Amino acid sequence: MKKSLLVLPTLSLALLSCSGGAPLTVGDYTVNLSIFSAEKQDVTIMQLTDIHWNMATDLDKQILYLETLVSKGNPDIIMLTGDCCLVANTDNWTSLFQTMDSLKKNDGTHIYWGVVWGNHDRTGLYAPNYPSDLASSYSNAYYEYTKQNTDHYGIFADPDDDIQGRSNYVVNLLDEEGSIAWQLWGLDSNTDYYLGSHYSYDIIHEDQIEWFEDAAAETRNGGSNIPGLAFIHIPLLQTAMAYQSVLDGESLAHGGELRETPNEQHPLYGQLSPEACASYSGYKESGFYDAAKENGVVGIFYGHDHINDFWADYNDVLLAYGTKTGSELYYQTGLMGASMMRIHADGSFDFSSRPAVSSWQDDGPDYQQILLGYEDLGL
Amino acid sequence: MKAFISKISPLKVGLVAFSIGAGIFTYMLFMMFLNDYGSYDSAVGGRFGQFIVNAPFYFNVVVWIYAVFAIHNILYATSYQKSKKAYMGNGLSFAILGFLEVLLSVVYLFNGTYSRIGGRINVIYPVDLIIYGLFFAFFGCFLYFYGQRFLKEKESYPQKSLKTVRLRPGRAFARGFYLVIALYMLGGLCFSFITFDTSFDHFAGMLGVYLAMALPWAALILYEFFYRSEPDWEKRKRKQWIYSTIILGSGLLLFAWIMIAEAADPNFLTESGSALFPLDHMLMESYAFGPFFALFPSLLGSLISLGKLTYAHFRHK
Repeated sequence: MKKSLLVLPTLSLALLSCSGGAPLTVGDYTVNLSIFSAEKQDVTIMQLTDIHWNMATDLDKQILYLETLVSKGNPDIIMLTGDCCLVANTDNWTSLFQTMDSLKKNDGTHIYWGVVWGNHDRTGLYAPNYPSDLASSYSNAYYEYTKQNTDHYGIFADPDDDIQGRSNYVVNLLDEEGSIAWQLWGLDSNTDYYLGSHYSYDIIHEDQIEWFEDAAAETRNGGSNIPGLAFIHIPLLQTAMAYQSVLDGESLAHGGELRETPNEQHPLYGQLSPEACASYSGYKESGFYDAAKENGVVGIFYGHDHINDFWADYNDVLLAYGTKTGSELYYQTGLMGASMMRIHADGSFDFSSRPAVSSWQDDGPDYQQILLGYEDLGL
Repeated sequence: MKAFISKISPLKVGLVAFSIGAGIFTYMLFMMFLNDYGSYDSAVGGRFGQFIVNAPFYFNVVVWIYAVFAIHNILYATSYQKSKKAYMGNGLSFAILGFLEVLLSVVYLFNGTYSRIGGRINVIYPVDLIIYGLFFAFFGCFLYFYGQRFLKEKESYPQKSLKTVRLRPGRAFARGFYLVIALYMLGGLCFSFITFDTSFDHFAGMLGVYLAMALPWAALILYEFFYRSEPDWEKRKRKQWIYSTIILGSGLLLFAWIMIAEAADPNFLTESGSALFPLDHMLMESYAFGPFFALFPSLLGSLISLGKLTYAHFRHK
């Protein structure tokens, strides 16, 4: 009898443990990076996008390109906005992440790096969850910038959850008092969405937006919005609206171009009208733009279209293509490199202009575009 | 089963082994070719920017696919003289292709196109191509001398098909087309050991896709190892009815399976199967052709086979 009494609670505990762990909290999606200090009031972020390493990539050449590009930007943080690889193998991924993890600023301190997935990252000789698992292995939940006391420098989280996508997370940039000065949001804009007869580019799903809103609300804890930047891969529909506003002559700060024509994405259809420039956003309005704006996000950065570098201050939110990084897959001569942002501990970020430069200008505006060709490296 | 085992010969084992190798490389070739097609400078055009650089790899795939044809050719030679010719002719071709593969890889390595061993495709590339090339060259020499000096006449040779028809160009093209699709699907299946979605979130749909990818091989195995080796014409005809019906039924069942899976779980291929059919996920407004492409040759082949049998049946009456 006594034995059976002991067995029952043991069984119950075992069953409880099988029924799933504790529910996930915002903390499970969060990386804290103590980076602002009395001496360091600015943080520079470099956006690399659409690197597209693949099985045939000459890794030596591309690693040299990345290292040179990063040395010209000298950022504190790098964000990769998807399509890092396509038809690649695990060697490509490990080479890329090892390179990212070994990058250093010009003063010798390590650079932190995060990644969100694009529509092509899961297409290769590996399991669909491989990129996320690998990125997770390079990441810690807490970093102290001044100590650089870690083996890895990845800022990424992908807890085992039911939320759509595999790169939904937030990086809190802390000041010297431990308060959150800025938030960097990573969201998986997913891949393709099946519309019954064909696929079209996917969007950020409703449950992801709910997660984002809940996480933002929980972090501000009744206080005012925390300024944030969001990094995704597939552009938002608002990009096309902003571009149309520019064409309509509305006055909004903007720059860059939408050079992509339907022909770039539909090469088999033949050359369509050259005027038909396009942003290849998701198949419908996701609602993320409104949610982001309401929750303090001041800039949304994406990639996806390799020869578009259009940016615009669209109703006080910067919508911006990154600059295609490297020559893998299609590109346009003279339009490859990176985008750079400088955010300030007081919550400010001026995106009224974006000059194209060959290396980061400390005395220049907060938002710059670095252009670097292979001929500049003698490659 | 015993009868089946007794029919296993080194050439049949070789055919299976070369098919697996050719399948793996055909699958990789499609992936690289697709990427190559999309690689260009938008300002100046010019697709296939990596074609020349990847030429040794592409050549290697051609040699592997040739190997399947060559072994098949030797296996089904219909007389001693033809068998001897098949051994010697294919052996010579093998030796030349193998030598060229070695030469091409060495030239690329030493002229700086490949700056070092590894750094692309795999960690020893292009040394792996040199190894394959040497293997093909030696294997070719072996086939040649075996055919020339040691080949003994067998008691019987494989019979031609029911009607002795010349291999018309259309038929040859259709068979080549079937084989390339089948090889791609086999490669995809081989790589599924590493591309399989271990979350099992979309397993029901993916199982149908994997079975669809295996169908061209099920049809080929039935045809090569059970139908063609049957010497009795009447039995052969009966087998043709049965096998064609099985393949057609399985194809239709899998077609329905995948359609239902797409209706129930619209994104299952995107989430779990994009590695199998990269083209389906390459462009905006692309289509889920891949799984149906796997089914198409088997369905068409079995339909033609049944059609021919039905026509012959009524004509005979």
